[in-house]
Amino acid sequence: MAYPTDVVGILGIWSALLLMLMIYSYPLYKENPFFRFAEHLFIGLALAIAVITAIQTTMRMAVTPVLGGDIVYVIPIILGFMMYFIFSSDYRWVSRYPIAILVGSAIGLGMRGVIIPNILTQIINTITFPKSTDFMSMFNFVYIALGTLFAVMYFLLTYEHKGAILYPTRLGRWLIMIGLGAYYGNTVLFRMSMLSGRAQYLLQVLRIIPM
Amino acid sequence: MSEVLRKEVVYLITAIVVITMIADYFFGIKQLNDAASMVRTWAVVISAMALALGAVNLMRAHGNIVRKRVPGRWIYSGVLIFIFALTTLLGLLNINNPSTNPLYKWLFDYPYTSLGQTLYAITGFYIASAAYRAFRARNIDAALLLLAGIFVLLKNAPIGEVIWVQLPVIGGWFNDIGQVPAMRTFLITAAFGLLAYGFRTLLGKERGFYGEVATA
Repeated sequence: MAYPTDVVGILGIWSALLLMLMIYSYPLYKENPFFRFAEHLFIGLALAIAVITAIQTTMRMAVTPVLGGDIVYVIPIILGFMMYFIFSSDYRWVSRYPIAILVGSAIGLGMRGVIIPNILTQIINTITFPKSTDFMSMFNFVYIALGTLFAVMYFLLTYEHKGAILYPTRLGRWLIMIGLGAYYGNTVLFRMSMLSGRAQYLLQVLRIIPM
Repeated sequence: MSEVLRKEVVYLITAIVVITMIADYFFGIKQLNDAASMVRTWAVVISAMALALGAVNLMRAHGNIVRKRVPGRWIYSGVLIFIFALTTLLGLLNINNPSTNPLYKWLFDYPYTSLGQTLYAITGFYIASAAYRAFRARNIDAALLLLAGIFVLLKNAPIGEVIWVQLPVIGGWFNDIGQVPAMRTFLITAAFGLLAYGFRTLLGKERGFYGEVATA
């Protein structure tokens, strides 16, 4: 994106910069009126944009088909309005019907979606012998196969870990720590790169570096 | 009868929808596929309409703050309500393509995008201090956490290769292989957890989302 030349664009990038600084006034100083203004502005904007997107979805997936003669799509519209009975203390139970559809479809989709990719594929990948037989491939294979077994034991064996399972579950916990450490390291890097992106934006708006 | 309508029928609908979704995946029956597809569409429409429920709730809460002129808060609530009303109105003026409205597009491109990115990036400040607290080798568990975290950090940071040329290789191993047992375990155990939760819902034992207390 090139540095804008029109008034609207320049006003846009400067307002974006000021709002950014208002937000950063909180971690760099303390809670203050500028931060609270920017925070509430964002909530209002985000909510409005989400509502507009939701209205568009409803129009596209239900209202337009109904207007086109597909009467069955009036059912989700009625169910959607039934959600608003949640505000009524006497008729709150009416809102359970749309919730039943939402929860049922989410759990049904979730259950059918986890069996193959999250259980079967993971187990197959864990116990499949590597194509290459060099030392490192064999080491990685044994590490992953035994490591996954021990870590699953640590999670699923909910009784006291003693006797034969004491050391496997302890090793499993250590491997989970390694996994969490690597995951956390990646998270730190990602958040830091986001932060440096914002610093870059500051320098771009001030024309210290090109946009 | 009332109790049946309030509870039993609701549990039955949930169970029927769950079974329809699962059966649709495993059986290639056209009528079943059509029914599951339709229920999925219904769920999308209901969740879209439910989002407006959140907006109504938030407006009620902030409207009360403005109405009562709560000191130190009502001005910000007023800003929230005003910007929400303005942006929603601008979007509704051309609901098919709101970005054709210049002011809506401006609000989206500059304040919204900038604030969204900034608020997400603000965690960078906190994660640095959290990393300091987490990465302290107080015992073997914490030491392993520290070791993996440091190697992954040094793999990606340019300084890692400057310190020792093999550091990115070791960091790469932790990233590609070292964390696999843990991540695979999370996937497998979370899947078992979801299946267990699903079966409890199917049997009508999980009722928290209806506003009821779950039974054992």
